[in-house]
Amino acid sequence: MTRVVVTGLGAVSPFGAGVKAFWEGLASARCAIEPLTLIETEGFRARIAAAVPAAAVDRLAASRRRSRADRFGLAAAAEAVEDAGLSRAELAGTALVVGAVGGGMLEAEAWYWARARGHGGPDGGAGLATVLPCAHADVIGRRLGLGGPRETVVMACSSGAAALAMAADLIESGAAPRAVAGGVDTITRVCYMGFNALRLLDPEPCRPFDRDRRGMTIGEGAAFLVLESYADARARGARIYAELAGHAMTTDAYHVTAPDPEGSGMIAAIRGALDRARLTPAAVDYANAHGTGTPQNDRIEARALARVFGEGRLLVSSNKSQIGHTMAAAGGLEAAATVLTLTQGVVPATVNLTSVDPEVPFDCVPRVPRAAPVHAAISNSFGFGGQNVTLAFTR
Amino acid sequence: MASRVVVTGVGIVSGVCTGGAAAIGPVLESGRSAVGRVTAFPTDGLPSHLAAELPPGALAALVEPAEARRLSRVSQMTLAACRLAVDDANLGDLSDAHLIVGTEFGDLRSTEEFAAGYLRRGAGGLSPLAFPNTVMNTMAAASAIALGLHGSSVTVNARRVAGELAVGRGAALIAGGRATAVLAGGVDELSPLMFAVLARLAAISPRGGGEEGCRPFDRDASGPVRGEGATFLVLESLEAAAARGARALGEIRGAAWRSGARAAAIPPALEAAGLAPGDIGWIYGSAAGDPAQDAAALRSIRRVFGDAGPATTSLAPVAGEHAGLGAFGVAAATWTARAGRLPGIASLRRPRPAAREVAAGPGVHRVPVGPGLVHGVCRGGDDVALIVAPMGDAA
Repeated sequence: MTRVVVTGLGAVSPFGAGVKAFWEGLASARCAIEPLTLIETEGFRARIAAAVPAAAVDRLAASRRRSRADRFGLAAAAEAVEDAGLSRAELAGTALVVGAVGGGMLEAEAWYWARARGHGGPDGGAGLATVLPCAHADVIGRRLGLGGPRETVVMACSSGAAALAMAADLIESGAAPRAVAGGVDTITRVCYMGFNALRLLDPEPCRPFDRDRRGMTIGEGAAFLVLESYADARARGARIYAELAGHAMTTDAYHVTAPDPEGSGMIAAIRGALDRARLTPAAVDYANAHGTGTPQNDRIEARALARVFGEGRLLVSSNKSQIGHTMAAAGGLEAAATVLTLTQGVVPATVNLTSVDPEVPFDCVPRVPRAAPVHAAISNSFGFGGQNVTLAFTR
Repeated sequence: MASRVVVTGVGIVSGVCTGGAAAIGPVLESGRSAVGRVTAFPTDGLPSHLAAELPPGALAALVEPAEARRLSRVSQMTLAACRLAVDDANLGDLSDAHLIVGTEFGDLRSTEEFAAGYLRRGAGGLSPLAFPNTVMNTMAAASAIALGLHGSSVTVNARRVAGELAVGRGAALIAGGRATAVLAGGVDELSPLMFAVLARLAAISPRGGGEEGCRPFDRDASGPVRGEGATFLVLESLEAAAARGARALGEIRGAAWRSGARAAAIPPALEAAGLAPGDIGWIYGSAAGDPAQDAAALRSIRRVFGDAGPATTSLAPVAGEHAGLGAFGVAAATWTARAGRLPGIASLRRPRPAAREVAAGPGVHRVPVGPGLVHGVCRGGDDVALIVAPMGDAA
């Protein structure tokens, strides 16, 4: 079977632009959650978020006329491609799989809000031209000269991880030798209002796995990985970060917004990824959890992890405690974090975690990152609609 | 390793017909079209007035009253078409099946209603139940729950070719041994906001002062006419279909998708099918009356088949442009492959010079029983090719 390896990384995160800023933020246990100023927050319960800092957005190379999300996506994908050292000829045969949800919704909302308030053009013009999630792939593909299969996958909060799994499929099936894959999303009025309406947001910075957690915090960003067949990576002398050894996607088919309380879909995704990677549970050292900070998710995810790995031994942490839930970007950013955990031998902490929920029978790496050799790790991403994705990476 | 992919069921919910595989032949022989003046919402003051709508009440006969209350209209369309396909395939247990939904606009109507609730009444006007519908995977989530489907459920978003792409990815999942049964297809609905924006941006007919109507390959083409509906196919591995004694409507011999200005998916699809250009007897193309798009599609076809290629038709004048149409084309292709009958383009009067040799004019044409091509093109973006053959042809 074709082995798939990671040869490039790119990120735009609430810590700023670039993989270096992302990893330094994670490894220094910073929390990027701050008062939200990007959109109106009056009248809502939670008024904080992990936004990409304005200074970092200003420095992004892509034109300011593009949507915020397109600019994030383009910057992260360009960094990944440069990191992988791909030539123009190699890029021409490279696939692109983008996990996205909001598309250019932030800009479309600005038009729609203005129109509803009596000032704004009737046609929507540019704001609507880039509203679809697939707009990111069109921009990234064109700018980077990617000519292989191109796909945009919308799987709610597991979109970014799904994009990586689907890109690995393309490489394994021989449809493309390599792929640029990941996720991108921005904070939008619709998602902010929606998570508020569902009372899923914590008014304070989120505290995944804490006994007193009250919900999630939204974030934004983008991350792309260059995935490549091992043979192609070796042939061109590429630096190999890690292997994407297994991946699996399942559906709860239980409820639109609530996970199956038994976690059976999550368990099937985790087991599926391990089987495909030919890893035993005992061989896995670390789980980069979905860990949103909602009471339900963290309890059920911990139960699913315990069912597969047993209680105790596995290190578990949630990047969302530092960068919030970056939605469609989360699977990409957390996959990048998992890869860096393998290469750096440092497990990012779950910050803001003071009293671990007794229903979470794991060492959740509270507050302080942990130096630990990690040979194999999984990254979980779950989304509305009961959409579960697990990626398994090995050194 | 590589499994053969067969189509064992079809579910169509469209303006022109509703039903399973048996509905295809009669409707294509009849030359009927669902294009007419929009009745579901006013189009006064807009330059466009035509679309291919679902008949009023069409959905009520296909979904349970409780589902009709709970699910948005586009989710009802998706579920109805999936159920028709599953019944048509006589497929019982879906617990291991996968679902791939292609869509261009998703549940835009619900998204607008959600935002409008806030703009009317502030935070108190937000419907938590409506929020999940703002994410494009809502149709897949609702359908997976109703069908008890626990494999992956993936939503792919693309301009113009989402339906073809969904079927192609489904076929690849089976060919690669990742799945034995996949429900794949596309869905879109007409919404007042989308229609008004497309009309004002001159993205739909009438463009450039021409007469309103859907005229692929015609000198008087003035832009596409939108449609709505859902078409889904049950795809299975040949072994799985044979094991349960299923009827096979046809085989997807090859599928490929590529992107960018020089995208060429037909050659790799032919290669996957083990066929040469001369083996292809007919083409279902995606020409919808947008002169630039239609020219791009013709160029892509002529590069492979030369100036006098196989007879090429389009279903856009029959059921309007929407993501379900790509899957409708694959369903129609299984009929054409068996029956040797190709429905021509009823609206074609004055073919463009470049299309004169290939465009199939009004009436039903005799074509070779045997393999043909379903081809979806979005200029500068995606090129999707599927090779559809009758059963037995590949033995």
